Amino acid sequence: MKAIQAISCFVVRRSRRLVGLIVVAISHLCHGHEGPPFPVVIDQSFGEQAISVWADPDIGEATFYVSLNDADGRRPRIPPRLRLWVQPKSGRLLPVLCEAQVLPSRDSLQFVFQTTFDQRDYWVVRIFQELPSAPDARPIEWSFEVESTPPGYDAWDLLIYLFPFAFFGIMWIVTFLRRAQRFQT
Amino acid sequence: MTLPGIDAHSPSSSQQSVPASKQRRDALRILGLSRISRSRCFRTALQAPLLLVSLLMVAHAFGGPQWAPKNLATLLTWVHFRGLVVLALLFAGNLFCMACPFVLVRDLARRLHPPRWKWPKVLRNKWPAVFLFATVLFSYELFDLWSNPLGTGVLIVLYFVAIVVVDISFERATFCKYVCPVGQFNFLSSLLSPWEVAVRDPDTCANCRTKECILGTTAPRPEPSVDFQPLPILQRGCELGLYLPRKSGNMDCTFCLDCAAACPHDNIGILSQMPAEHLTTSGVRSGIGAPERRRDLAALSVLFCFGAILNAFAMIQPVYALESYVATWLHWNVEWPILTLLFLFGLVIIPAVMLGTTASVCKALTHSPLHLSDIVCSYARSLVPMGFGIWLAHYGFHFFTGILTVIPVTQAAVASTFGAAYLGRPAWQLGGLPERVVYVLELGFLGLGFIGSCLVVHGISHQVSQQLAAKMGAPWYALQVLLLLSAWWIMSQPMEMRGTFLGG
Repeated sequence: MKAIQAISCFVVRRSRRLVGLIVVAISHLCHGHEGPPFPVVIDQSFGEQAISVWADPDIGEATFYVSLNDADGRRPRIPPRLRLWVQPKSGRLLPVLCEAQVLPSRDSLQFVFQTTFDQRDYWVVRIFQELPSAPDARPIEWSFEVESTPPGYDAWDLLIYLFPFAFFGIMWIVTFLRRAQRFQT
Repeated sequence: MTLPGIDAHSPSSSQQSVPASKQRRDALRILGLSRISRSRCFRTALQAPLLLVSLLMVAHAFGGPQWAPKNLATLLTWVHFRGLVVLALLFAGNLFCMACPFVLVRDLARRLHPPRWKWPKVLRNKWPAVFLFATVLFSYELFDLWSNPLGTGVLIVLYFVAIVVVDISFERATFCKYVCPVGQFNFLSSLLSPWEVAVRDPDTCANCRTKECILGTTAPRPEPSVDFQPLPILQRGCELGLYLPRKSGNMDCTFCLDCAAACPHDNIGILSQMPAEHLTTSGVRSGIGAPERRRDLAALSVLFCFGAILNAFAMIQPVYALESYVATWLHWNVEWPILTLLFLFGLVIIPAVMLGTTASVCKALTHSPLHLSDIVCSYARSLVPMGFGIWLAHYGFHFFTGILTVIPVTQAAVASTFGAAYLGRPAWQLGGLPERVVYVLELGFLGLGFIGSCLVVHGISHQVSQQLAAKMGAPWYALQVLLLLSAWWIMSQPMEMRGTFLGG
C-alpha cells in the first residue's frame, strides 16, 4: 500500500512538473506577437484586388507588410498607391501617415510600412488605396486594430542562443587538436 | 585484374590518422538497425515516401496556384527540403542520398533497360559536376526558381529524366558520382558530418578475399562449368567505386549501404567520425585518389564556398541595386548578361584573386618551391567547412522562419483538390521562428564553419611542415576571417523571406 502511495505521489509530482512545463511553454507561445509578423488578413477583397496584411507591431519600430494580388494570384499590372495611417484607439495622439516602401519582390506586389509605437496600446490602422488610372476617384479604405507589443529580445538572448554553438565550437577545437597532437606524436 | 576503387598503394596516411574502428560508435547498432539495414527493402522503404512527396510536388507545381508561398513544389523544395538536408548533414550524414527518390526510379528503369556502356574516361572526374553545380546556381537566379512553381516542377522532372537517361546508358552509379550537383553538395557537406560508412573491424577485411563490398555478390556458378559469362548480381557492391577498407571519409559516399548488405561478415556500419578530420589528411584513398592533388576537387570546394556566398548575396537587397547599377551603366535591358557578369565575378574572378593572393603570400612567407596552383589545391579543402556554415546559415534561415508554412499550404492544397477541407481550414497564421532568433542561429552556424575551416588550415599546415606551419597557415586564416566577415555582412542584411508570405 505504501508502495502504491509512493508511486502515486511520484506520478502526481511528475505530472505537476509536466503541467507546469506545458503552461510555461503555452504562455510563452501566447506571449503577444514576439515572433515573425503575424497575418491580420489573408486574400481579402480590396477593390479589384486581394489584399493580405502582416503586422509586426513592436513597441519602438512597428512594421506592416501588405501584399496585393490580382484575382488570378499574380502581380497587379497597374500598381496602386497605398497609404497607411496609424493612431492610438484612445485618440491620445494625432494620426500618423506612413509612406509605402515597395519590397523588391519579383512575383507579387508587396509594400512595407514602418512607423513608431510609443507604448503598449491598441492602435487603429487604416489602409487607403488610390489607383493611378483614376486619381479623382474616392480611395478605397480598409481598417483594423492591433495591439503593440514589446520587442522582447536583448543581449542576454544573444548569449543564451549562442551558448550551444560556443560550447560545441570549443569542444570541437579541443578534441580536434588533441587528436591531431596524438597522431603526430 | 584491377578492381575498381582498389588502389595498389599501401594504406594512406589518412587511414592511419583515424582511430581504430573498435573505438568508434556505430549508429546502426545503437539504433538497432544493423540487421534491417542489410535488407533490400531498407533503402526502398526510405525512398518510397520521398518519391511520393516528389510526385505530389510535381503535380502541385503544374496544377496548383502559381504563387510560390502557396505552392508545395516551391515551398518544399526551396524551404523545407534544403533546410532538412543541411541539418541532416550536420547532425547525421548524407541521409538525402540514402533516401534519394531519383535512384528508386533509376533502379526501376534499369530493370527494363540495363546499362551497356562505361562512362568516358575523360569525364571520370568532378568537372562535369562543377559545371552543372554552377549552372544550377545560375538557373536558380535567372529563372527565379524559388518564386516559380512551374519552373521548380520542370526542374524536378528534368532531374528524374536526367538520372534515368544517364544511368540506363552508363554502368554503375555514374549520375551520382560524376553528374549530380545535389550529390556533390552532399558529398562535400558530409565531410563535416559526425558519421561515416566504414568498416567495423579492419582485421576482418584484411583476411577477406572475396571483396563483396565492392564487387557485389553473384549467383553461385553451376559446377562443373566452363562458361565464363558474368554471373547475375544478387546484391550489388559499391557502385561509386569505394573499396571500404581503404575508404576514408564521406566523399562520394551516398550512404546507400549496398556495401553493408553485400558484406558476408556484417563488418560495415555507420561509425562516428570527427567532423572535418578527413579534410586535413592527405594521401591516396579509394575511389578518390589523393584529394590534395585533384584540381577538379579543389574547384568543387571553391565553388561550394563561393557559391554559398553568391547564393546568399543574391537574396539581399543590395544585389538588386547592383544589378540595376550594372544594367544602367552598360545599357542592358535583359537580366541574363548581368547575372552572367555577376556569376563570373562571384565564382571565377573574385575566388581567383583571393586564392591567388593568399597562395602568393603563403609562398613568399615560407619560400616554398611549390607552384601557386599546387598551394591552392592543397588548401582549397579548407574552404569546405566555411562554405557549409554559410549554406547552413542561409538554408537554416529559410527553414526556421518558414518551418510551419507547410501546414496551411498543404491544407489549402487538399481543400482545392478535393473541394473539402479534410485537413481543416488553412491556418495561415502559422509561420516559423522569429527572425531575431534565427539570426543568432545563423551567426552560430557561421562561427562553427569558421572554426572548422581554421582547424583544417591548422591540420594541413602541420602536415606539410611543423616548423613553418604558423607561417604557412597565417594567410589562409586571414582568408577565412575575410570570408566570415563577408558572410556575416550578408546575413545581417534584410533578406527576402522566400517561402513565407513575405517572400516572392
